[in-house]
Amino acid sequence: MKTESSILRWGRWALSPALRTLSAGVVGASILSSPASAQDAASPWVTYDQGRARLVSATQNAAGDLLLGLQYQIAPGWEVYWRSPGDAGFPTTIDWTGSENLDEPILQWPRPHRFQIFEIETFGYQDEVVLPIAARQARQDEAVALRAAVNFLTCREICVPHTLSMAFDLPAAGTDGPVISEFAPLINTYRAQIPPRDGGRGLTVERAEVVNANGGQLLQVVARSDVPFSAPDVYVEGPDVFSFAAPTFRLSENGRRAVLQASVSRTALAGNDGPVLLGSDLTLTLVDGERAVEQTLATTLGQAESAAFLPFAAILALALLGGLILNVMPCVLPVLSIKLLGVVSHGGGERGPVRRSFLASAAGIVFAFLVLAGALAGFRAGGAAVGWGIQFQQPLFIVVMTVLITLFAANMWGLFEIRLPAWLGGGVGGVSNNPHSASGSFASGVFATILATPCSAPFLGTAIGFALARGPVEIFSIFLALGLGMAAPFLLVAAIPHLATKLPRPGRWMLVVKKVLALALVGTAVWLLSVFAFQVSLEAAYFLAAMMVVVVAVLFVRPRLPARVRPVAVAAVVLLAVGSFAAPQLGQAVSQEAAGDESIWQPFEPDAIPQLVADGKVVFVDVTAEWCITCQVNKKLVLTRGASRTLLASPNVVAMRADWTSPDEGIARYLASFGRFGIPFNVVYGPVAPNGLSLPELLKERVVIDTFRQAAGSDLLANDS
Amino acid sequence: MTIKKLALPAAGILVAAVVVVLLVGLPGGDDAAGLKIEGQVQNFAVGDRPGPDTEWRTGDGGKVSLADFSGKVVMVNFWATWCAPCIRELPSINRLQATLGGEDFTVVAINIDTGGKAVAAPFAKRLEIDDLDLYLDPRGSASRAMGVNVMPTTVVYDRQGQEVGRLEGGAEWDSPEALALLRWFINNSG
Repeated sequence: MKTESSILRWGRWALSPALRTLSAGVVGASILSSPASAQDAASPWVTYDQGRARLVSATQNAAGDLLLGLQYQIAPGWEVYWRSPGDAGFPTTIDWTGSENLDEPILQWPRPHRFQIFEIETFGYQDEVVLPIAARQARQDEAVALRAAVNFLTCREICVPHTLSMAFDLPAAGTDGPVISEFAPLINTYRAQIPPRDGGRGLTVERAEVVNANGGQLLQVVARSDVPFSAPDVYVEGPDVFSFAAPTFRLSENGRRAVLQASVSRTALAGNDGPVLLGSDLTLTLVDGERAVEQTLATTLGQAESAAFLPFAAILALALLGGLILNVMPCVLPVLSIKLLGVVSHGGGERGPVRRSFLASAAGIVFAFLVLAGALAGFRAGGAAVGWGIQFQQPLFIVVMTVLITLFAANMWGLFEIRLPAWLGGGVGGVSNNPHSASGSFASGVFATILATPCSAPFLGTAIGFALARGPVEIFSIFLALGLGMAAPFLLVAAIPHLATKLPRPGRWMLVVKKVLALALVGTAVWLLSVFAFQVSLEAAYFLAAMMVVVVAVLFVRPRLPARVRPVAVAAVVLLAVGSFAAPQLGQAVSQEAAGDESIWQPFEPDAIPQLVADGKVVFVDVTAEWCITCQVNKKLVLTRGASRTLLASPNVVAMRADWTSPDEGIARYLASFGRFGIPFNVVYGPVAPNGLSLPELLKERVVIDTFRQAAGSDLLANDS
Repeated sequence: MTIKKLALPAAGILVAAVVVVLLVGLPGGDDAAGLKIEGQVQNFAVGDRPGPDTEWRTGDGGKVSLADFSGKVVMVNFWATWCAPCIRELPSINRLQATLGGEDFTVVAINIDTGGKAVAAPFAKRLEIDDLDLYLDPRGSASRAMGVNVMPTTVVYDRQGQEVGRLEGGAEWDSPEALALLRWFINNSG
């Protein structure tokens, strides 16, 4: 370093571009008066402190088309830049002023290398390179005078800009035709390294996608190769405002398919109204060893193909843990409690039945998860927009759940003697005298799983998002892990039935617990009704509620009826239950404006966001749904109170709410663009974060405030006004 | 036993070395009392010469020259968006100004991009350069007058506008060595 800079101190480089041009003119003029010998088919070497350069020609004379080259021999460690220098640097430019009989000289660019200078990504050449120059002789029978002022930058630990003048003449070929020079092989070697446009060399770029992930954007490039890739890289040229990091890559299909991901940042904040990456044309130079191709294509919206963020094993562990936690979520707790109640009734029981019962429940849970996995994989294969908790968007599903829960509650209250869901296990309408039969336990496992889905978001969002972004194998593995996690307590009891038999003996207190649990179930039913009201209409919800009240009433009076009328009561219950399915027909979704006092919320318009951000606004997007409990928690505990509320209501903030209570293709796609498949989902856009910063699923006021500040930015350069 | 044999000559050589060092003075660094040129700024070349009478621009287009900073020790840093080592050191120069800038010292960071403010301002903003004023020299007149040949170059002027030394190449300008060097000039600049 020391020697380098002391050597450099002797240099006489013109630094400013103005001076460069000036000196080029002066030096160029002096060379004009004494051009180099034409027979050499090259200009003399021009030496500078970090190397030397000259112009060369593939022919000794000029016959129409010319093939020239700018040859650099560069001192070790120094770099000369590619046509796109990367994040710092500038490319070689040639001013041909003073040349004669020369038409359309075009500088061409062999495949460069990627260099990091102080962790700054640059593209260029080291040691030696020839930049081919295609040109034409303007008038066939006249000599060509080449006069070039070559302006370039060379950098190592320091940067030195240079302007060098080079000149030589090529005589007209006349009738002899072109005579090949000694430089033809050299120029052609480098010309062969120019990445061909649009394929060739067995390389193709399939697509370039913009993926929103982890609060930032990724450019994801999918490429194929005839022979296995070794270490693919992609050099991206696009609108100036974007900067692309060195990509990571993942190979599949025996190394013939590569997915490259590069994080994207904005290089300048001057133009927030500037280009958006999604949809813009990018020129991609795909490089693998000695091979390279160039393709220009428009980016599309994609999904993270390889979530390079967490290894698969970690995701599986997360799923296992998430499944375990599901047991204590409000959706599932009643079911689990009932199961525990069953254990209590086993208080003095034998080990065999306890073990069988719990194994059956565990199997039910795992089975249900696998069925869900199958369904999701199937939907996904069918190309449908899949979201976790999506079944709660189907009114009929909610009706089924409501009816089941109501019957369950009535059963717990002791109104009738089916231990639900005995209808699944103990025969239709029949009375299962052994509520802990294997089939009954199995069904309760399935039931618990279905109820668990809306509660899963905060713990399972990452794992499920990952699974859904992958293939069926990953989906099944992750759902299996979820199922095993949730079944873990059941498996534990099955392994050590002793635990169950340690529980207190049954007694009167059990009746009290049963009634409390019945109330919890009624609460769940009311929640389902509220979802239903929001989704279909208030009238439909009232209708459903009324049906349920009548069902409960019939069940209540049934034991008091004469014995021969009782079958009629059973029939009535069945009829009422079936009749409930008419509820969704009552009034179609007109309840969107049920938002009440929340006037700050605007409808979700993703297309409007860039303009709003360009106008200096901060945009908050809340993707929510009535059936999403975590969303309601976020709303109640964070968004509608304190500093978050103040932020959302401030004039510079636009709050958008996307309601996913009913299926919506647009919202599903929007979520997918962030690699998410479930909600809650919140994003903040702002001048500093035009691509949006996504928030964690469970909101905290501190995080909301910080993210707002981050997205909005602050005044940075004092005198830049 | 060989150790014992060698011990005496070794001790002798050591004593001799100490004597030589004491007589000649410790090598490196200290040419003036207390001035240490080491570590991050080891390539700093001390040398007095008159400061040039040249002008550059403020971000608002106003003219400014060394005379405007008379009374302060001034560190002039030349940078450009195309210069990776400049971009690398600029945040440390920003922190330096936050630490040391004031009545006695200021940093003048001059951008030499031909694109001027349109190029430099957003770039500086992205680098979060918020303690430095934006100065521009798109035609290169100031950098030429200050004899800048390589990028980055940083020149230190004393309170009278006299050059006291320069560093060609990058440095971490808020490192202890750099701070010590600049403090020395602040304390020893009449």
